[in-house]
Amino acid sequence: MLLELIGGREVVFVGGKGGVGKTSVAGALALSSAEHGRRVLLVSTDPAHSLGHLFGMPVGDGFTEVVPGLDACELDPERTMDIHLDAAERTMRRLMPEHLGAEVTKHLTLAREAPGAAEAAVLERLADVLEGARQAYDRVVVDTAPSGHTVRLLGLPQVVTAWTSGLLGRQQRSARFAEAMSNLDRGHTDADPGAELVPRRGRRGARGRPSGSPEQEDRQARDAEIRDILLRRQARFTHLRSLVTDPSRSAFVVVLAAERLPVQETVELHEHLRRLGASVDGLVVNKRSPRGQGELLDRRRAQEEEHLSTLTAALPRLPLTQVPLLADDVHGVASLRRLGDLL
Amino acid sequence: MTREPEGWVPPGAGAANAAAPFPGVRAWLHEVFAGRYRHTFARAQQDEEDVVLMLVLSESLGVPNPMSFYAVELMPVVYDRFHAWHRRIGLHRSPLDRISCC
Amino acid sequence: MSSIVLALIGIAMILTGYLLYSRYLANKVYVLESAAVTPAHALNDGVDYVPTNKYILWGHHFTSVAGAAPIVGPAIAVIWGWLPAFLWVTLGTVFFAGAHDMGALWASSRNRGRSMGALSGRYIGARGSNLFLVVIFLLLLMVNAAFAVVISGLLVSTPSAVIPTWGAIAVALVIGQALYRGWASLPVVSVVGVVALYALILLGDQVPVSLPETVLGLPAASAWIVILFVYAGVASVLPVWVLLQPRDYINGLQLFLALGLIYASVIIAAPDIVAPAVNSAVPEGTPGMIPLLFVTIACGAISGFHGMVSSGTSSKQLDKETDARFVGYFGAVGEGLLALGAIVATTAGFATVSAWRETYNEFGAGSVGAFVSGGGAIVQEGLGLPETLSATILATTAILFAATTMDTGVRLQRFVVQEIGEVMGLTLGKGLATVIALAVALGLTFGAGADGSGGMLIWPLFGTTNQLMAGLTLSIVAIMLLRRGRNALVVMVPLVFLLAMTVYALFVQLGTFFSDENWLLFGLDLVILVAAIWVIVESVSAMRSAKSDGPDHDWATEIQRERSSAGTESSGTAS
Repeated sequence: MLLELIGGREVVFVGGKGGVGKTSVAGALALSSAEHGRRVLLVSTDPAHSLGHLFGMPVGDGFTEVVPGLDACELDPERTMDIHLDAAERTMRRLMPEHLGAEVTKHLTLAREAPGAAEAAVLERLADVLEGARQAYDRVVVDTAPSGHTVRLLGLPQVVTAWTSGLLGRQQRSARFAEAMSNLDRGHTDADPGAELVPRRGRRGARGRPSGSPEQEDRQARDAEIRDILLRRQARFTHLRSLVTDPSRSAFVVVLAAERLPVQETVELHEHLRRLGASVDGLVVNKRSPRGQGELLDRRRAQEEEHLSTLTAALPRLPLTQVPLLADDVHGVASLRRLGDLL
Repeated sequence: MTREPEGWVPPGAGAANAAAPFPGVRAWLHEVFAGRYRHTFARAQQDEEDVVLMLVLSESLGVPNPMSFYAVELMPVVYDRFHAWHRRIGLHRSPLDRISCC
Repeated sequence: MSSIVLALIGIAMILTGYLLYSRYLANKVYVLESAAVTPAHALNDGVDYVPTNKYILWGHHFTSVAGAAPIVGPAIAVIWGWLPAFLWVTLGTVFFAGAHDMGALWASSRNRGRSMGALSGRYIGARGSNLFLVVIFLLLLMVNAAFAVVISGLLVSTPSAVIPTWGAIAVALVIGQALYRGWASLPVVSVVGVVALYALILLGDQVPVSLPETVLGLPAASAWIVILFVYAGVASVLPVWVLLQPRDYINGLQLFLALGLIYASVIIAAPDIVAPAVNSAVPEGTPGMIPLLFVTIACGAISGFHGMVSSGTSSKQLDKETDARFVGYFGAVGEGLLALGAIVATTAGFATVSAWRETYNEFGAGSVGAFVSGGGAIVQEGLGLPETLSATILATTAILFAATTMDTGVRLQRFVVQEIGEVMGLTLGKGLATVIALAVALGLTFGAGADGSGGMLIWPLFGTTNQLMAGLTLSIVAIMLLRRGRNALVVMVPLVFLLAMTVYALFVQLGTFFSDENWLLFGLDLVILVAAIWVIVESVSAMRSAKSDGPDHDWATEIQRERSSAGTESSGTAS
């Protein structure tokens, strides 16, 4: 049983190609967990946003209760991007004179279109949600976007951490130089020795001598701010990474159909995730053709067996759960419950 | 920003400047020796800050930056260094039409 | 003649020059205004552009320009007697160097603190920047080669200086780390550094180190040169604060200590000058005094290198334009005094005139070595330090001066090589450019006969490139003056004299190298000659068109205009 496999883990990622029933499986898992008494949050990072359709009610970026004990959320990266850019814009407008406000906005729209910006926004909101969910929920089930996106998404923290480390290194070196400079005057006078020696004539934003002066303090404050932002960013991603790579806290379930391409992709996905440090815990082979329902379906079943053997050959130790092809679409709580029983 | 470059004060303003007095031998010695050293450190620090500036604003300078989402949160903090930077490299006006600080 | 009398006369001449002539230059020629905008205030960034008190700025400027050249030049030139050298140093400082250094400061400050290279482009035209690149490449090449020869010569002649010379590198590295990481305050670090240096000097005195006669087939002097270049290459690619700046720092300390040492000894010992006023019996093969005197002594009389420091760093730190008088002119005064000290050491540090003639038996034989032994003798007489120790101190001082100049020279040459590459459309990496810079200098040094004998041949060539740079600077200043409708005679007379003597000297040397069949130096001389003619042609044409080009709108006056039209308080009156 998939649910037993998952055990008490607090986050379950459900991944796989589009159209294999990923969202249904995620929904079913979430519902089962909720009906076993846990407080569950079902999150979708998939831009296709099918959670609302699955439960027959509108689900937005907030936490909507779909069933007692189960809340759903469809991440809206646009909204995240807006909030992110707005915060920056507000601060920058404060620094610039009135008439240049429009310039700031123009400048920031560039960032919106940048490569990787959309994914970054998704990751940001996801990290946000996961952090917030720790207190309020016992389990979070994440319905991820089709395979490629997922891998990139989960690999992003590492990349960003490398970038922020680089910047932090520069900051550190810069701070070291600042310290060395203030050191030069140590043991000479406690006041700024340059003060009497350089005609100090006005404070109109003058960046005067860098030792112990208000300008240097200003600079130090700014450096501290940069460092704080970078450290916060790193911490967030470190937490995310540790969550994803800790097998006692997170589980990965890959959903596929017994066809050539999905099997291939699943094997690849497994490899990518392994390299990222996450482990796949179970496979769900969905929409299995039933036996003895006519020649067409029997032939299909035979083909599926072939593909399945490829799969089990490549990933022998991975628990496999098979779900038969269902007559009706999975739609609504009742059908989700039925699917949950099959898992 | 105003038309005046930052830090500018008309020379001759203020009595303290009429003729800056000789600072005393000890202070003079200290400033002469510490001064050039300080300059070296200040230069090195400025170089590091410039690198950070470039990394954060690279998108605006025409270099696509996959980290731009994360650079955005740093932009407000380094924005005003851009003005000082372009003046320093000899461009009187901002070189970009998107960032018009002057 | 008593050396004290000579020194006093020299000092008096130079100081009078400062009091009278520099005032004339400041008020009537350059018209320095206390209300003029300086780059330090307009572009104040706390790093390069920082308004600095003029006494402190002078300190920075002086320690930057002071090097081994004001020692080596006079030390060689006294072969013609003390009087010619004395007159060239004193009159040169007053009428040439002062006007040049001050003019370079003024020219740069008026133009937003831009360097000579940029000003060449502005006032001479596009060809001007290329010309500047050529001249500075040649100058740096000569600096690196000539100083390498000086250092290696000293290391061979004064083996007791070997340990302090190389030990000083270790001391510098430690000081660099100490200040970077804040292990101790500046005064503590300085004291420890100086003590360590002198301890090394004492040690070196006891343990002289000589390389064997031949090392891997190279004579000892050549081996030193190779080692020096390898060191210089490494030092120039390290971050400045790791090695170069600490070395510079120790140098600055040592400069004042050594100056104090020499002048104190002279005052106490009051030695007599034994060398003739004018040497009527110059050794055979000594070139004629005119024109060679004027290219043998450059720093201390007039030096293009100073103009680069003025426009490169000092102009960005001028608090008020009127400070240029003190910083620029008095900077030249400092150099002149250093050169005077060298003259005294090399003419009064010998027991008798025949002892002097023994050392000065050949042109170039008596050079910085004579300074070391002569100066050492004086210090021994004056302060009672044993002669070898005094010699070691002076040799180490001279070597350290030359070495820091070489450090910066190699580093600057790398930038110049990269820039030349860019002009030609190539992008040269840091490592490659450094290798090119070193290879060219090394080639020259060996080609000049670096086994010790022909080493000093390149010193006058160094002088010519230095004067050439000075000539270029003077022509730019002259153009600026002409376009302001001012009397540029005070700049044009030195300019004409300098360029004439330089070209004359180049021709004379051409003959010497030809008859010696020294083809490398012959070729180099030719190149410098072509550059000199180029300088002359460009400056003449630019000065001719200066009148018709109309008034010069420099950055400072433009800012002034903007301010007054923007309604801010009107600019002050000229001082």
